[in-house]
This record gives sequence, structure tokens and C-alpha cells, in this order.
Amino acid sequence: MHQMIHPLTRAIYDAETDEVVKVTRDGKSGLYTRNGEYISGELKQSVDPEMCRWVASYVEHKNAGVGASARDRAGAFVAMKEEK
Amino acid sequence: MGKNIENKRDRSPGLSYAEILDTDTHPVSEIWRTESPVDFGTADQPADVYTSRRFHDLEMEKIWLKVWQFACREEHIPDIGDTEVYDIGKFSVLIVRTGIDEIKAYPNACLHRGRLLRDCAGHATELRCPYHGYTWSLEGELKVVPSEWDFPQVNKDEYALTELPVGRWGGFVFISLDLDVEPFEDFLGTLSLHFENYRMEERFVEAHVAKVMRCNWKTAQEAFMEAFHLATTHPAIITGTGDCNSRYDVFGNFARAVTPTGTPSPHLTWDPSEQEMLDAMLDRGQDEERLGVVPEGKTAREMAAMASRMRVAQVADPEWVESLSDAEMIDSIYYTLFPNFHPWGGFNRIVYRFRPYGDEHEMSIFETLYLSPFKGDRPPPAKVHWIGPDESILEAHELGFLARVFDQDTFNMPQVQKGMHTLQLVKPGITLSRYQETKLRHFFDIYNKYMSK
Repeated sequence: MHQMIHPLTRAIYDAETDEVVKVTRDGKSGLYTRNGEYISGELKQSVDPEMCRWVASYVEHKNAGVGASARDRAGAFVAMKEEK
Repeated sequence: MGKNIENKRDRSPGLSYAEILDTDTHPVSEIWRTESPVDFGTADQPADVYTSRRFHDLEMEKIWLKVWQFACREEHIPDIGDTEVYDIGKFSVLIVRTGIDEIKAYPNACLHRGRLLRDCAGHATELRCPYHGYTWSLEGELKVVPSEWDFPQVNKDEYALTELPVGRWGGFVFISLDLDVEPFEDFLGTLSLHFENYRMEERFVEAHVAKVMRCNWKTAQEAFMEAFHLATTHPAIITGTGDCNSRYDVFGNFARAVTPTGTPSPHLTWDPSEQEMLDAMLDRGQDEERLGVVPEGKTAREMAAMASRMRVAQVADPEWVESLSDAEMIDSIYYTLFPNFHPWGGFNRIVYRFRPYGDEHEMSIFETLYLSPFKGDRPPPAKVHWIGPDESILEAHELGFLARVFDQDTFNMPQVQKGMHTLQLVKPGITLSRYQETKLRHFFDIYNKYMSK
């Protein structure tokens, strides 16, 4: 849904829903809440709660219909694409 | 005031902001090249100013009753007779448009029994107390004393509403509850020079969100006064954000931070490409289509600035937009005017204000206004969208991407407040960095002067 590589740890954070995030590192994965609390899976270690929130909130906003608006930097590129 | 720093010791590795400005594709104004760092030392900041009721009461008396403070925008009261109510702590101020170019402010209390004259903003032809009907003109003259025969002691000439000092700049209306406050222009200092190219008076409030927080107002605002927290609180953006390359400058009652984008964080242990930096700036996931491509020979900064210019030119004078540097188009340039007013410079539309939530010392109001340019008739200002202490800032859809950034910030704030009580069991203060938390140290430099008067 919204998969990002953590710039510092290089772990992969992938929002499964707006509440559940899959974290993968060194070939192992685990499921965590949006606050970084462990739910299940082979990867059981401290993960970054802010990164969990970041990818989960993307899904929450997407579900709510909040897109790249005029206020977002991304919105400027969306507009450029539309103009082409 | 601390010591002016004469050299650039103790700075992060990586490019300096001056070096980043040298790569700009447009002329950079002198105000962005001006550096004014101040060394406030390394002493801990006592934590009880955030947690103690005693300090809250002292702040009410020594700061909020004394200082100039942002009350509303002129656009909130465009017509004669329009009113706005500004509450600070346990006090309330009534702001009234009394002429085409005249705005007055009064203590919002009936001189009969003290009821608020007005509970909320709105149009009025007179200021009538809803309790017994004492009535004043918009100019503050007492007009109606109900059962006047029963108030032989009330002389109408002596019962005019007290006019509070009003200051105006860039479409912002400031008030002070101190009749002897220093002249507004003196308090503002050179702030207007820093904003003279941004036409703040020609903006409108496109969004206005007020989030009630379970933390002291200073705890809340300090989350927006430095870039030191980015690597931990907002890690996703640091691939394209030079967090510790930020510059911090102090100018009298205000301070400025500038955080560059389109340059990698020195915290990274790998070298991102220009494309990877742009993808991070646009919050592109690994599983998503790219929104923008950086052509060979171009940089992420150039591309982001170009896209922003094109977007802004749709609603603003293209010639003006072309006069702005890349830095002004894409960098985070965030000011703090003591005590709680945070307008962003460049073409960033953010203005923050933080204040106590009523008379609660461990609750606060965190407000965000988007001030946007417009073409044609001025659109009406957005109404305030209140978000309760237990509601998520993600509900503020009108803030777009920024609501997600705030979701990360607001995750910390109440926990900082709670933690500071425990902290004081082992040490009396918080330990601030010497440079990156300059704006916090500058705030407390002025704060301590007010509190010791």
C-alpha cells in the first residue's frame, strides 16, 4: 500500500492497513501497530514507531480521499503531469 | 542576549546553507545570506516552567498581560462592525473594525457585572451585553445604561471601554493587554524587512486548524522550532532534507531557522541520487509511480523549485513568482516572534500560533493557518476547524500532507509533557543543544527577561 525504506536502518516499512505495518529487515518480517508495537511474525525487534505512523497515515489519508492537493509539494508535480 | 558567534565552529558536517544558496538558479536576496548566529551557552533549561502551575500563573501576569500577541487577521473583520474574540488564558479581548482603516481592541468584559460582551466573532452595530443590556458604541462610548436612574454613580464619560494597544503588520492584527507596552514597530524590529517580498497582506486564510493538546504551550511550540528532531520524528523525509545543515539566526525579538530541502541529511550513511532525494521530497513509496523525474544534469532542488513556481504562478503574479529564489520556493524558513507567533518565510504558507488552553497549564492550543495567494476577489477566510485533545490531527484533511507530519509531532508532545514530570525526579532541567536548539534558547532568553521584571 505504501512501502518505504527507512533512510537510516534500511528496513522496509509497508502499510498493510491504516493500523498494521509490515516491517522487513535482513529477510525477516513482522507485523506492528501504527505505534510500532509488535503484533506477530518472525521479526521481533524494536522498530521505528514514527516510520510506522508515516506509512499508516498515508493509507488513512488515501482511504479518506486526501490526495496530493495544491498545498502539497507533490501537488505541483501532479499538476505538471496533468498539463502535459 | 547571548554572544554573537564570530566563526562557524561546532557545525554539522556537510554543506553549509550558504553553500547551498550558491547553487540557486535565481538571485538570492541579501536577507537570506545574512547570518546572525548567537551563542546562548549550554546551561540546562529548568523543566518546571513546563509543568508548574506557579509558572503558568506568573506567565499570565508577566508575559500574556504584557506582550504584543497575534490576535487575528484583518480579513477576519473586513467590514465596519465586524468583531473577533481573542482569548488568552483566562482573559478575553474583543477586536472591532471601527473604520475602513481603523481597528480597535477592548477588554472583552461588561463594566457592569463583567460578563463577556461578545462570546464569539460576528457583525455588530453596537456592543451590547447579553446579560442586562449595558451597551457601547463600536468606538467604545457607553450609550445605554438600563434603568439609568438606578446607577447614579455611573458617569457615561468615565465608562467608556478601555482601548487596548493594536498593532498591524502584513494583514496580522496584534494586541497587547498592557497600556504601556512598547511601540509595536519597536517590538517587531526588522521582521517586516524579512517578509517584504512575500505580500502577507495579499494572502487569505485558506485553512485554519486548532488542535487541543495535552501539553504546555511551550512544549507544543518547541516541536516546531528546530530541525534536530527530523531524523527521529520524521525519518522518511531526511533522504531529501538537510536537517542538520539548517541555519539558525537571531534578530532581536525574533529568530529564524532555515532547513534546506533537495540535499541529503548528514545522518545518512549512503549517498542518495538526485532522483532518490526528489522521491523522498514527494513522499513516493517504493511501490508507487514516480511523480517527477530529475533529468541528467538537473538537481532535485531545481526540479522541486521549478514545479513550485509553475504551481504558484497559477494563483499569483508570475513576475513576482519568478523573482523568488529556489530557496524561497522550497526550503523551510520558519520564524518565531516572541512569544508564540511563527510565520514561515519564502513561499511557504504556514503560520503557527501556540497558547494555553484556557487557564490550563498542561493543555494548549496548536493552531495552523495556511495563508495563500489568490487572484480576483478575496475569498473568505476559512473557519477554524477545532480538533479535540483525543482526536487525531489526521482529520484535518485541509492540511494535506502536513497533517501526516503533524501526526508524528503530536505523537510526541503529550509524552514529552508527561515525561518532564518524571525527569525532574532525577534532574531539574532539560538539556538543549548549543546551536540546533538556538531558537529555544533565544525564546528563554527573552522569557526570562519578562519573567524577572
